[in-house]
Amino acid sequence: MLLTLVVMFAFANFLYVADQTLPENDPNPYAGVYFGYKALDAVITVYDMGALLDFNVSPNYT
Amino acid sequence: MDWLFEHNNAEIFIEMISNIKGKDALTKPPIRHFVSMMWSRYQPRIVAYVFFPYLIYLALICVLSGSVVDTFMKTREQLLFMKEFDNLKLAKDPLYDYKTDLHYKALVKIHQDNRAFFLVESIFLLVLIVYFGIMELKQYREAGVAYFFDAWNLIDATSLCLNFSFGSMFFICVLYDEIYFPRELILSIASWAMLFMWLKVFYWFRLYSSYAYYVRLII
Repeated sequence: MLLTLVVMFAFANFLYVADQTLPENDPNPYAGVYFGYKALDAVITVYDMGALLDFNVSPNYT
Repeated sequence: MDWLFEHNNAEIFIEMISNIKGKDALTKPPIRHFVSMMWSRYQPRIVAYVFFPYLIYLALICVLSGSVVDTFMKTREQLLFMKEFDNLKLAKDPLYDYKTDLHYKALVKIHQDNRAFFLVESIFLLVLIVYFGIMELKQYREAGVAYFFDAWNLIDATSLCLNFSFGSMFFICVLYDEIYFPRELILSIASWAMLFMWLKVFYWFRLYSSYAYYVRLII
């Protein structure tokens, strides 16, 4: 459990910091928007992607 | 093995095995048995001198990359923008002077208040980078080119380079009143640095016997 959390935090932190390089109100952030708190959203994104395999590709990318 | 515990034989023995070039000798059964016997003494020292400073190092990079760099650089960008705006005479009021603008004054105050604190933080980060860099250099001296054949050594070296790039870039930006490196560049490096730092935390779980098995199983 703890090991899973460490890996999740690793990628979540990566997404969270990478998101800060984007301009304000970018329509395609790396982490999805769930609760509006960027740090929490990044963790949820990683859980969604890594554990539930939900890649949730935005239609804006196509 | 009784001779080992007479006088300071154990100390001499530990010094000898720590100076052996190449770690193959450490996999020999008598030495492994000795290390496992002494592990209860080694572990707290490793935690105190390496793991605990590593956690501080990680926390510091988390704070710096998570909010400090972004806040500081955005304020700096805003201040420089206001200065440039005035220099180019883009204001509707011809008598506008950015130095008398209340918003500018407030931003400068916040910026200067934070600056000393962030400077100390970035210096502390650079000190920790040197501390862990010396450990890696010692390992490189012992192992030679073989150092680069181990994936975890490569991760350690990459992590150190990224952290140093991130720390030094931010330090230069805090020290001088200019934007020598764009915020996006610093944060891009920081995001990779963070990823490697967290992955190393995963490897640190080898210190604890209940997790060591799983870490070895995965890696």
